[in-house]
Amino acid sequence: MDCSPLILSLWVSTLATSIIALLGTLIAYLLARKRFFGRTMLDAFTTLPMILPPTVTGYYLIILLGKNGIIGNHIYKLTGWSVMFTWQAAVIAATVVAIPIMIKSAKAAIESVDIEYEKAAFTLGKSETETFFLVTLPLAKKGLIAGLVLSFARALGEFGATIMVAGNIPGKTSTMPLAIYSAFQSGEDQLATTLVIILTVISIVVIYITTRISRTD
Amino acid sequence: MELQVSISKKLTSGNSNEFSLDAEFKCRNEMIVLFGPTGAGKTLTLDCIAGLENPDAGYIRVNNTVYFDSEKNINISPQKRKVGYLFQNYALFPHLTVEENIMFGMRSRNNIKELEKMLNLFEIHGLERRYPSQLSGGQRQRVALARALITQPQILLLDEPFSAIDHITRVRLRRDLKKIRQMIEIPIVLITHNPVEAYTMADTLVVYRHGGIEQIGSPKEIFTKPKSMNVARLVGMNNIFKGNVLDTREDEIVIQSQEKITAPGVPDLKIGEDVTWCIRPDHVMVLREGRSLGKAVAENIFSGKITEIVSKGATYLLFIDGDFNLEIEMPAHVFERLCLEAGRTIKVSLKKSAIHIIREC
Repeated sequence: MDCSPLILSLWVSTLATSIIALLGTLIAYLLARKRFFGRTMLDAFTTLPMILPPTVTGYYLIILLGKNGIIGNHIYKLTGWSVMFTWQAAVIAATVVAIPIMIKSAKAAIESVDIEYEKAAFTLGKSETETFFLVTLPLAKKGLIAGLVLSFARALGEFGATIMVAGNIPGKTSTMPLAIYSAFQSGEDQLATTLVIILTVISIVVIYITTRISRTD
Repeated sequence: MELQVSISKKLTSGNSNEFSLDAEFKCRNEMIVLFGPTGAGKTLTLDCIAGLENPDAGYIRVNNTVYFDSEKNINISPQKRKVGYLFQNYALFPHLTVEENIMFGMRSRNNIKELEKMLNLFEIHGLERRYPSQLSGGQRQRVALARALITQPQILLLDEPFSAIDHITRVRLRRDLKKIRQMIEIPIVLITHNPVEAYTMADTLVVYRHGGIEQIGSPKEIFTKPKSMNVARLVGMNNIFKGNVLDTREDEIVIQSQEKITAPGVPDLKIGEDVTWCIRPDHVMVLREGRSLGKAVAENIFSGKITEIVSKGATYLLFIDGDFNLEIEMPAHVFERLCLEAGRTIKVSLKKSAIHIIREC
């Protein structure tokens, strides 16, 4: 059996989750703690990929990043390279589709940290950044980890946006869900079943981990 | 050290509920108590001093350091103000041990000498490895005080330190605070809505109401000579009556209320002026039948029927209906000796020297 879909999927999901950990937590912190112009807009905009059909999200990504896309055409002119139909595109698709879950979960976790702790840290001489890492982050840890685990799961299962921007190139951009689809289409039922079982097991493990985290103190 | 505060700030929540704070007071190395009902702007004042909120206008100075000055555009960040702040719920970091909490504000984590000093001062030795959730209310408070004081602040802010603890811990805290005051020479600003705490703790009392300051003075002055009816009510001067000046003599005046009342003289009071007069419940004297009266109590004698008796443990409250509807507070032993019961008619004396005149109507 060709193991590349599994390895590719894990690689793409892990990278996407790392980006989500940084970007998602930052956006969640801004939404939870800051009052600024366009805050509601940002909140709505970052929720959108959760509501939109993934193919629609994928379509927007093509408009943005395609060879003739708003950003993509500049990159293509400068470097002669396009992100479309590469594994990097799969990472971008997975990130965009999964990040709302992290933002929602992290925002709720940060909001649940009593702001008085942060005020106390300020009066004790700690900067906002120091306070975030010494106080807010440890206290919101549970919600952040839960959000990351769920985001990872979502990234792992990403299909619609990925097939739009990364295609389904065997050994290159064919992630697990895409490989399952191809295998089923071409009548390789045994391969499809094997891949389905692997994804199911991973999903069960993910659910187990999240429930464990939310239970332990 | 000296703290000078003169600030104003408007808060708008939605369109309707507007709150504006206007506060001005000074404080040397003493305990200044901000006293008033919840929502009067006391905590907002502390937050402004600590730099957690920004006033719209005014200044905040500690010694020669300007923390805030709207005219000079100065606004030092809370990190750089040297303020020790004890939050209402202490805000001890739940994920850190007692030792880590206390050392949180220190640059060097190895300053064992200072840590030892604080552990000794607040008698919290042996708790260093515990987490806040494993401490009693009083221990938490002492850890929070240690954390605030170890950084050697220029001022100490205490937000309702008495509100969340039981009576025994309260007595102990009062003792601790007095100890701190003697040890470190800095201004201490304390918030309370409890008149007893305000009276016992304050060197200077600042009475807050609706975002403004009603009166500043020594506790004794404010409790016996409130400037307004609002302050009178806040400090428990519950017998408040309106009247009209009938006659002014050298050292006393006569007021026409429901009955005639003799009160101590007030300078520049004119005949015919409307005044408010009041007397503390514990200053009303119940007269024993058949006793000849001493000169001090032989004035302002009225009678009334006891409508209700409330025991407060060490003292009793009597409510009487009569010439004046009065609230009387007396020690339990006096109450028992007088054999009082509801429905009986008694004579009371409103001692002239205990009557306080408020000149606002």
